[in-house]
Amino acid sequence: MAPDHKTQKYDRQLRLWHAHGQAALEKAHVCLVNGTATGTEALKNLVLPGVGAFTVIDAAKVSPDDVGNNFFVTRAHLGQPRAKVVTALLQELNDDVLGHYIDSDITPFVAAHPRYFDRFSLVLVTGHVPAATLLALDRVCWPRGIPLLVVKTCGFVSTLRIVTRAHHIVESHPDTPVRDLRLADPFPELVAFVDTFKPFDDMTSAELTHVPYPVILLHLWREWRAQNQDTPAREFRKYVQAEKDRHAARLTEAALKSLDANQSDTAVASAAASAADMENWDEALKQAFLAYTPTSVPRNVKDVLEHAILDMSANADSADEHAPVTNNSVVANPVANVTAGCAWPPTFWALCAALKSFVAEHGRLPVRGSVPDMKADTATYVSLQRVYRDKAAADAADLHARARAIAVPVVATSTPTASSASLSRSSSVGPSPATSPGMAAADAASTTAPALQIEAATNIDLATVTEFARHAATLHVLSTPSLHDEYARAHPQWTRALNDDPGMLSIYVVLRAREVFYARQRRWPGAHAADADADTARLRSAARDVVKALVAGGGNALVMEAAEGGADAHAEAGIATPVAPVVDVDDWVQECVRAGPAELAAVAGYMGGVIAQEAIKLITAQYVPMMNTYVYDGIHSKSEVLKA
Amino acid sequence: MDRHAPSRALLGTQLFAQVENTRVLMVGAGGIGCELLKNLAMLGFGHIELVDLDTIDVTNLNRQFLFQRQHVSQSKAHVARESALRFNRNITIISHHGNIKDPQFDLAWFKSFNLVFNALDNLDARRHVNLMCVAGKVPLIDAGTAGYSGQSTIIQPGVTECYDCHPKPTPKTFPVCTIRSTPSAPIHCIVWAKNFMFPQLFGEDEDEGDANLVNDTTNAKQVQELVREAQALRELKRSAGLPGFAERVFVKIYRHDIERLLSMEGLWQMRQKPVPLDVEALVAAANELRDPLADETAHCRVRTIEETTKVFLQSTAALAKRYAASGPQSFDKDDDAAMAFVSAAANLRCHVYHIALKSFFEIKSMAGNIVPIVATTNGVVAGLMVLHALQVLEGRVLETTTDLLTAPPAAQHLVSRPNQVLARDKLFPPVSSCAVCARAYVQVAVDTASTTLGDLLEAIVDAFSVLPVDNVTVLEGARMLYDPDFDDNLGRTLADLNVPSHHAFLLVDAYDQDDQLVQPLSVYIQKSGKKGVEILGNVPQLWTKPAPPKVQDAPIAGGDELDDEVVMAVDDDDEDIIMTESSAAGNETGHVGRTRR
Ligand SMILES: [Zn+2]
Repeated sequence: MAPDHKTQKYDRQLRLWHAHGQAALEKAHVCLVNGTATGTEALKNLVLPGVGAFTVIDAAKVSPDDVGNNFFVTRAHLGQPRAKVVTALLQELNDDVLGHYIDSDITPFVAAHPRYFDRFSLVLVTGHVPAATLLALDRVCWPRGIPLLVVKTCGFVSTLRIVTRAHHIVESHPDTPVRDLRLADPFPELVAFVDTFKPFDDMTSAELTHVPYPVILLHLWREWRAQNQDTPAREFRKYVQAEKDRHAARLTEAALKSLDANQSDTAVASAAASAADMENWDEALKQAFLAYTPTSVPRNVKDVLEHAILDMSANADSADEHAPVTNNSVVANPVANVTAGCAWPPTFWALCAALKSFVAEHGRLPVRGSVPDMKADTATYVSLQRVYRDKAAADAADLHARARAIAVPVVATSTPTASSASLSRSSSVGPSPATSPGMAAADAASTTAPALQIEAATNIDLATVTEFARHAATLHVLSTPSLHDEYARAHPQWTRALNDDPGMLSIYVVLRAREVFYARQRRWPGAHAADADADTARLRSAARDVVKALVAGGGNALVMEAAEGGADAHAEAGIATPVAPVVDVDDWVQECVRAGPAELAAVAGYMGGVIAQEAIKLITAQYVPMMNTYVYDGIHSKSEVLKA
Repeated sequence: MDRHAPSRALLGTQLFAQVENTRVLMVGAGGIGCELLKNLAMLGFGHIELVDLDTIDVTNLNRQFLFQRQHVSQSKAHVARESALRFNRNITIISHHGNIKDPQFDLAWFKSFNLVFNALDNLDARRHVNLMCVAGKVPLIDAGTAGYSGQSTIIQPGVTECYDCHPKPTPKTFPVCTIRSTPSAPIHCIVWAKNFMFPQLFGEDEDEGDANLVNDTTNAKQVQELVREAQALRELKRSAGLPGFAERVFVKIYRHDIERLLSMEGLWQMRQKPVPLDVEALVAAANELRDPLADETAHCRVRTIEETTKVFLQSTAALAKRYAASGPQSFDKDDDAAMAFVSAAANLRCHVYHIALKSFFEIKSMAGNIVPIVATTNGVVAGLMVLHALQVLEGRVLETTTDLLTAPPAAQHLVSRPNQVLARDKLFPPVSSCAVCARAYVQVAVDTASTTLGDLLEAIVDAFSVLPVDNVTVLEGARMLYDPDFDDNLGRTLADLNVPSHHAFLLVDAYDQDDQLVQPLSVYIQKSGKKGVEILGNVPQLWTKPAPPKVQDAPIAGGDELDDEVVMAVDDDDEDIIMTESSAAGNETGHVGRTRR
């Protein structure tokens, strides 16, 4: 009698992301770098809802600090490999999940086994990881289209950076439901339906109070526009009001007339009341703007249709010319990685190409096909629903034919440079980073990496296309700069904030400064209480260099292992010393040194929830994740999203 | 080895010592509770008590990580305690498997804690804990989640808004005729199945089960019909548990009742007429089918009418058998038979009324008012709760209250909108009209077996010599115990009056000559073996002077002798405090501002 155990166990979350979201989650394989308290918390929140598999990469042995801040490890585990311990304990939480671990340090591992990452749907990095290693991970994940989540924590503060090249969302679950009635640009079938109604003046009270409001609006708009060609459209509402009042008066009069003189006062009142019950006309008044507000293609959908990936597929031949030749032997099935863990088939971009062609020809999106609840008699409402449903079906069939006809060649293209250039269209990014030092290395790496590819949709079924068409207005594509890009280039968008009021940007600066400190000292600040004063001074100076780099670029050079001394790094990189603002980051510098390597359980718990939440949004391709750097201050309970 | 070294390092010795010595109570060991207990244990909170009346259900396992499959149907509180202690043995955790409204959890017990956490999913218990915390002046951290959204708020009694300062939305209601005669949406049929049909067939006899229905008296004839229909059903119910019962119910509600409704022509002028089921054919077809519920994958799709009929007959028979064996049943979304009945009954009715059918899964969601819950949001909220607790321990809530309206806020709302993970709301002072915050609270120890209501009133009037006794009313919840025109109960003992009952407080309200409420007082009855009436703690000196205009909005105000037992006062303060009208405080949002003079 009971539903199967998975439906039962996952009952409460299925209501959020549904069976197909769950399927995507169960197919996903998440990689956690370092089994820290924060990392374990995040993974716990993915294991409980049933992520398919996880792999922990960590060379650390369980330390007393781990016992103190990680709920899952106990004294008995001291000295054992942390990856092994954490994996076993997380595995216990859910039999449906497969746990693996690799008892190695991430730095040599990623250098030696870049291809190992092909299997992951998402890579999450926590703990104290040198920036050079983060950039190495970025070079592996970016070209493969694997979302990379980088978490940096220091005492009460923490940041989460989501790095994703082209994350697409079909079901974005907007806060307000999409209304798609096409009243300002009615399709012929809708017009024909409206024409089947007799003139309102000939209608009985029962009929007039049950005409659905879209019919009222289309009728009245035609009448009004014919008479008032030059009047601003917003005046239309007055006409609707006048017509409502006129009909109300007419109906009340008719109702009273039909009663004979002996009727009681109550009967008279009730006849008048029922005549005045014009809820459908009130709805028409409220929605009057729909009559002249055309259904446009929303910004988020335009971003999708204008995305560089589609240009590349449209000009596949020329794309091949300027794209570097890729080494396809690197990865057996790169397509699976592009849409890794995604709830939508790899045909997503082919469907977008079809949609682009649909919009180019019809100048509109496919009709959604659903009709909101409204006052109407059942028969009319059902007919109206059918009009929209049929139109939606016809549009879906049209889209289906286009999708199948678009034989998208397998496009091999796109290096980080190409993609970040395309980004500047939809988001504000700084000048081209091509001149930055360190770029050459990244390019070299990416030529050996697999390409972003699009799969043709020749065999796609109508049901999938229909579902896609239904969500056409809420498609999203989100692209962030690569991590390399973030470190290498200047951030003019932050210069003003750095000068005026850095706010939470100062937390970002200090967490980046820690990495510079590490590159110079080969250890993290605050490790030994005795060095606190020296560490504070060094971290402060590193923060100054990071601010300079944010203004002028070249931050990647600061964290390379060869770099010694802030000013020197700039000189070596051949960058003119920029006029950098003086930013007061002392509070956070001291906090960082004071906290040292310690993690606080409550902050780990909080961030673990935030990270897993965003990871699930990415994996299920539902809901819109935040873009792209989340900064949390647990002392003042504040947070902010910065756009790197 | 010092397990708490990281906490000590990050919190500093002083704050950490506070954490170690703080007695905290957490109510609820569910989704948020598990996360919270983990955080509290890791941070090193030295004394934790937790209360939960639930047992572990399999649907908890996707987020309540202290529980595993082998724990299903055991006490949440006890299992949570054991799991947490496995990881940290240096702290004290006391678990109570019980209802937080039980008499054992009295006001004195609440007052023994420095901090209370609400990790509850139900409104009633949340409000109760809020009331006890405000009455006992214990800081409360209240939290809740729904889907990707959640929130954590600091309630510092007398200083910030309480949980009840803003009324909570009431559940949606439907006109009775829509539910009983003219449904037009699936929800109407689901409400009919769950709130009308289920209690009619398997509930208490006199239970009309119409809690959600609003009676629309303009349709007297229709209502009459409905009453007849219900009577016929009660007749039928006598044969519950006998063979053929399910079939008889089926024929009655899907053919006879529909046919009778069809005879009321007026109903169908503007509506599509319902079509009675072809009951014989459906029962015959259903008998040919194997158990449709055996196919577990079908819960997400809409079943055929024949399958639905089969489910209806099966579940009706099962529930009737249970009714015959063990008496009236009440609906529970996690009771498989009850849910099967509601889904089948609702879908058959949808079919009759040409309404789109729904899957079992969707109906469960609508019938159970099930909110989506995920591990991630619980993790975030529980993290926030502990960080809020640290703010309370450090006194950083009070710090901000001198200028509450502009001070950095501390209430948090977590939302799932793009680029907005944590939104913050300001913490406001208590709403002056709040039924919880506006009262003064006193604790009275009495021997309820020998003390009469009159004795008690006299003692209270004595203690607060200023209270005009001839203008006092006493209520317990909605029950009137005394007013000047109703003194029948004065001679009866409290035990005889069943006081205290499940209501924690007696509401003693005093009015002045102009019938203006001068002082709302809440009296907590502490049972004692000692004869007589003893007022515990300091006796609040209450307002006696002629009331200022609109006194209901500013029921508590302090004169020179304002005592710290009046809830609105702050503990450490020898400055005077007056509660002012919102307009006087220049606050447009209708909250009361505090001014010092
Ligand atoms: Zn209140």
